[in-house]
Amino acid sequence: MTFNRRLQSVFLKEIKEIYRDKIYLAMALVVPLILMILFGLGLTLDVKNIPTAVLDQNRSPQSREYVARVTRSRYFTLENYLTDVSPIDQKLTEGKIRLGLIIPPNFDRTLALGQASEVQALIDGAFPDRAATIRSYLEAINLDFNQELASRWGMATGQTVPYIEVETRAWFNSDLESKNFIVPGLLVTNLFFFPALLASIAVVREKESGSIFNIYCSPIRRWEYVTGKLLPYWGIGLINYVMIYLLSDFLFDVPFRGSFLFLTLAATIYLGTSTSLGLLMSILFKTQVAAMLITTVATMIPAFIYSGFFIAVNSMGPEAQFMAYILPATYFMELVRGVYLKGLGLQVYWPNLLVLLLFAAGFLSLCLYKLQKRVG
Amino acid sequence: MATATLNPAFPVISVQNLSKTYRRQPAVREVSFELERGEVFGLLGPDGAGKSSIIQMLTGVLTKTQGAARVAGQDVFADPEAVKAHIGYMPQGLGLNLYDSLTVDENIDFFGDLREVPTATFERNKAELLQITRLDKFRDRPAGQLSGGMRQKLALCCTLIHLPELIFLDEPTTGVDPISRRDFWMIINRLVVEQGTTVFLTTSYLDEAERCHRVALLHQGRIIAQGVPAELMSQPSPKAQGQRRSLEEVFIQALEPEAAAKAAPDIPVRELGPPLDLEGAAPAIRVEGLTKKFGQFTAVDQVSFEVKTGETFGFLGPNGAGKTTVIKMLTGILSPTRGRALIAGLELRAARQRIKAELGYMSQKFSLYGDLTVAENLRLYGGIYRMDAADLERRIPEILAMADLEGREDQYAQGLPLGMRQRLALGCAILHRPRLVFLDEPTSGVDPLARRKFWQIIGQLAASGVTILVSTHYMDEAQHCQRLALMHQGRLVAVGSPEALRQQAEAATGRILDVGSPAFREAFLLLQEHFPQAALHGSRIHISSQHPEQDRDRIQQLLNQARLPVDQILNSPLSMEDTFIHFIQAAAPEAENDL
Repeated sequence: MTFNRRLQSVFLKEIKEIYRDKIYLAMALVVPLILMILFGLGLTLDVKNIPTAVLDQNRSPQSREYVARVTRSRYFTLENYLTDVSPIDQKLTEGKIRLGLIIPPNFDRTLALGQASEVQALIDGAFPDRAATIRSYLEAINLDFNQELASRWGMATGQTVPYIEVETRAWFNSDLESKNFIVPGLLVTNLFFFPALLASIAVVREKESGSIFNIYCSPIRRWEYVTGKLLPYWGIGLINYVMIYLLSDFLFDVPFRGSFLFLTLAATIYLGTSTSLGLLMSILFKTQVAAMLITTVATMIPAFIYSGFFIAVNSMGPEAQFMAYILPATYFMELVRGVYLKGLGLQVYWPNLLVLLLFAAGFLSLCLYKLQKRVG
Repeated sequence: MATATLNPAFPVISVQNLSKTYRRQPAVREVSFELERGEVFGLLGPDGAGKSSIIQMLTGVLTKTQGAARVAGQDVFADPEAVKAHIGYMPQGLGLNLYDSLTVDENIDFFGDLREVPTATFERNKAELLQITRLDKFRDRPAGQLSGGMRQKLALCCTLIHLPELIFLDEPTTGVDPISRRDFWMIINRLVVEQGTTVFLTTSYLDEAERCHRVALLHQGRIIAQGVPAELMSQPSPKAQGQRRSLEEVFIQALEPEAAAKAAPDIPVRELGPPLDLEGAAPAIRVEGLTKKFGQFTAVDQVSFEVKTGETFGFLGPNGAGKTTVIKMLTGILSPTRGRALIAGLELRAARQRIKAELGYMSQKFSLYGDLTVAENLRLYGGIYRMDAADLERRIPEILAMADLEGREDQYAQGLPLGMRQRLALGCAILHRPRLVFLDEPTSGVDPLARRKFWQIIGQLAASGVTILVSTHYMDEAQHCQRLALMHQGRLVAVGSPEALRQQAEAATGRILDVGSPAFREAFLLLQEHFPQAALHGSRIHISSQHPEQDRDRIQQLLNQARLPVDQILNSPLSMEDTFIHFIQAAAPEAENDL
């Protein structure tokens, strides 16, 4: 028995058309994986194994200990141990090293007097972001060293030495690698713009070919047509979701602390939102090119900029925060990171689900309102 | 489910003063008409006359600007959904409403489900429709891999699957091959006779009027004449003494009462230079075994013909027959896969530069620049052909006079009506005084008045010695050509003068007996038993006959015995369409099954 013959016929026809359009099908299934791999590998903010040259002019046990502290960390790799200052410039220029560390001749004596000793660090500044990262790594290692030094010094003289507490935990928690942050974020952004893009041709394709008149001129109800069109693309979105989830686990090795069942429930609702947004675009525009272009611009860019993917929403300016709050991806971003990294679930994120449901309902209502069985 | 029927107390369609305006641009102006049950009503008019707008309003997919339209008493604008269950609508374009990746079967199934046709009824209708359209052998073929004619028949099956009481067909036969067209009309007539279906269709072919019970001629959104085709044509022709006027003349007289009798204006065309063919012996065009393949698809298959110098040579065939591909190979735009083409005895590829200045080409699609004015377009073409500036300034007024575009020099090309645009395009093609002109479907979609003007210009060009090769899908334009090539599926099925071709076909298939009867439905069903080749043409019955005198008596006798009234039985010549069908079948007897 069929639940609704007209709806079912639209649904099955759409699936057949998608399945037989091999290019579209390949795009629908492969592109999210490629995007995931490209972004996931390319967007990591970590810097590791930075080639480093050291010129130790002091050559004391203390200076050697300091150099070892830097070069034995996983962030820096000792490339050259120099005796002369001149090669540093050249090696930096050629890109052979990214960091040149120069320890002054009176390093240990100055420290013994309880004074500050300066260590010079020459950083390859070609990529400012990377340079900043290198500097902060180095500063963190330096701080660590200073703390030890201070406690040793304090013990030796019986006095306490004030030391500066720097908040570096977020960066140097050895567990918190940026991929654990980026990959779940990509799940959110990709499942926002991609299902919308796929659905954005659903109706407009029929308008371009002229087959939309079959619908306009038949007794089919608008909700039946919209539902029959929506479901296949929603289904593709769910397949994409599972693929991305598996990728995050097996390729990127992102730890998952929450409930997969809850994440799947949330993703299903979220995909309903993005798919119906795409469908709405498909109903609003007259050509496939316009629908796809506008959908991409309207979903991809905001998803990356305003959803909290790079920058936390609470550190945005008021205008950006406004953008963030009218963007469904923002609500899912918070939820996904919470589920992945903190293992939180429904009791915390039910309001997010509610907001996503409201978005979906809103988009679908607009679809029904805008889909008139008429031309023009 | 469509169990309820259209209320028989009202006319099937009733339209009063219906108007539609798009952004202040009137498309339909105060049209009024009515359709009775079982009628085949034809709305005839050129492109842009407002045919599709009227159909879309009647099917409830377009809003009105003013006026009223009712389907069986139901206001289509107040409650469009109430009407939709009872109607079938086939939009314009060769099967554009089909789903290309779905098979023939799946397409029909989709429409059946969309209309929720009960399974038993559905299976019966589907089997019958597939059989009469001869699509039953192709049930598993994707719609995208069907020919134009087959697509159109499949679209018709899909539109008819729920056996609607009222069907709307928007240009169902434009560009369709003659055999598919004949099948198409057979299906329509069968529905009308057997089911009492009401048919509302539009067409730009005036010769299709006789297939309809009643017609309305539409021009620029207005109905300029309306009635039974035979009655409209019953007045004497303004030109030929003692003959009835053609529908084209009806059209032209309704538009410009004084223009119909007027002779063509004298057109200054050109002073002849030295002849292109220096020896004077070679034909203008000689084509030998010309073949063009696009991948697996053979667009042109072993075409050979000759065009004599000074001849007007017609290429007649449906969309996709290969006409444009042949012309493109003759102008050097496409290179042939096999075979060769000689222009004035010269190999096209070898002597291209020498020949090019002597060729004029008007492409099928709009070849003008819409955002340039009339004069700018002409100057641009003058520049492309490197015409001398002084010569160009002398030539432009000549062309403007010829194309009847004087006073419109500063109008943008895109703002001109289609007929004028086509004349301007022709003007651009002959600006440099070529001796050989290729015109690719120059009159497609143009209104009858503008079409006649266009053919008058072609006549003038021919009179001045220009050789013309012109392609068309209008059967009634064959008469304008000295010789014709009939093209079907990439092959040339016949070459000859229109009259010779007709006589040849007549010798093989016989004349047409044209039977008129007020009780034509009953008469048709009766005669069909005795003459299986009988076909309905509107309210007349056509029977091809090898022995017209004997058969005429037999028909008279059969109808008398059944006490069916007979108006007249005419012995008519074969139409160009019938002639074409004869040659297609003669060229490949199995073609009928493999369209």
